Amino acid sequence: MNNKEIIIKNAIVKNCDEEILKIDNLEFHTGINIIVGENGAGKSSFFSSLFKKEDYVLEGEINIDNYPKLQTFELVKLGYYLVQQQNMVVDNLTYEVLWKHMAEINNITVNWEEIYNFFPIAQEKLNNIIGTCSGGENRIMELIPVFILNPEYVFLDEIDSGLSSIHKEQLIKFLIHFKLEKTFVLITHQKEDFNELEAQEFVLVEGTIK
Amino acid sequence: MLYESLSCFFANKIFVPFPKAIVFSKEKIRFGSKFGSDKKILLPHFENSEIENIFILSGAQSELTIKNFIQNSRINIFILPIFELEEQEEDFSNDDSLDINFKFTIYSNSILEINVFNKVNSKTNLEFIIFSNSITDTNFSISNRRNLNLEINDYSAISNRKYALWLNNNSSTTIKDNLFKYDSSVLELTSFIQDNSKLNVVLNNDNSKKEYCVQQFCKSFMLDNSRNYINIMPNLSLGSDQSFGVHENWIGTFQKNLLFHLQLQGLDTYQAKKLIIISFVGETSSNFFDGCIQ
Repeated sequence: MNNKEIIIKNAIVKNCDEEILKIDNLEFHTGINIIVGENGAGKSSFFSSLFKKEDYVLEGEINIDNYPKLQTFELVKLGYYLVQQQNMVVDNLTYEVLWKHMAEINNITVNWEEIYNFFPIAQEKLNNIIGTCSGGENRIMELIPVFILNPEYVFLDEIDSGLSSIHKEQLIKFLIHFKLEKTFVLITHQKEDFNELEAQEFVLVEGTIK
Repeated sequence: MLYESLSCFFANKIFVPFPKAIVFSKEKIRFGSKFGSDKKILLPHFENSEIENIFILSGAQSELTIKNFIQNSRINIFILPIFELEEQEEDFSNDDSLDINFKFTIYSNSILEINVFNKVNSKTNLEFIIFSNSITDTNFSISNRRNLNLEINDYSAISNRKYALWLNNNSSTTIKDNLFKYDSSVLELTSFIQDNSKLNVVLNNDNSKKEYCVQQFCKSFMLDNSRNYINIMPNLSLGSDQSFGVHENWIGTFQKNLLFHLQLQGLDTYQAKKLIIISFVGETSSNFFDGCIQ
């Protein structure tokens, strides 16, 4: 196993200059890392700040080279990938066009068979406009770029919400398959769904991740 | 023979000079070398033409696809199903239909008039990629006229019309869309606007004798972030108070959340904006937006 760690120390998460979260010492290791906490505690804000969404700031020590100067797409190219919680509809743009565009600009040959074996729905909904599948289906479709971009660090914000039992099984199978080679960080409200994955658990309480 | 038929058909309707091009087919036909197709009937692209009258006749149960571009030209196009002319022929039943897929790229200083005479059961999908003014790396000159006027007279029963426009260099574009025999229509217009250009869209249905449904959706992207106003006037005019009209208009810059979402897929800002444009106008035409995306 190659240990791929993300270490964040003495950090603060801000939204529009308002401090919303403190991080003393956070280490995510290869495998499954789960963050739990109450609604509105700042879990999604933490992910948004890490990926430099506008109005969000993460200040502190982060073991990513040149992190303060990196833009969002550069983080992705370095192997960091985020699936956001909210559903995004992109007018007229289909998953097929987006995925093929992603593969083309990154000069990547995609193993489509592998994708369809893991998630048959990807083939079925290939020509759908992005974000127009059902809630659970959208969540699964957002995972497909993991096969295309092959990131080492994958952040999944409530990826399990709204999933049917079949899709949940597929998600677990997907995580088991990649957990020895990638670092997954999941935000979830149903941590018991991931019991079999031997996940490392973090709790966000009173503005601090412990 | 054919010209006589045409003259009869258009008698008392419009003036018909002798057509420069006639295409007659009962099969699926396609024009245009620019986009390519398996089965090609080539028409030249129209550049610097004073007036061209194009008659396109198509047979029953056929599909008509046209892809072409015009520039510095005035083009009048008449599309009609041949079974309208030969209604007594036994070959054609009431179920005959003509599906029209029309994709035309229009560059500067052009006037395009399209008259679609279609069967009641038929469908018309008209799609225009319209460039009302040039960008510097294209091979044509800009004359004093920097305006583009597009008038469409559509006699179809059902029509789904889609426009994509790029307006720049203080240009002024007017689209007048006249609906005559509509049961329902959807007009979708997406524009990318720069440099104080103006856009005036009039969707007009003055048929007061029947019920119909007209939907008009306009979406305008401001490409120049420094602008604080935009000059676009989408108008919808209905002739019957028994009819149903929907009128939506959206104007703004590229949405931040949308750009962030695409950046999370590894696209930089330029690539993300271009992909949004591609989703509206297609890969080929989007190349003309290069250089204008900030």
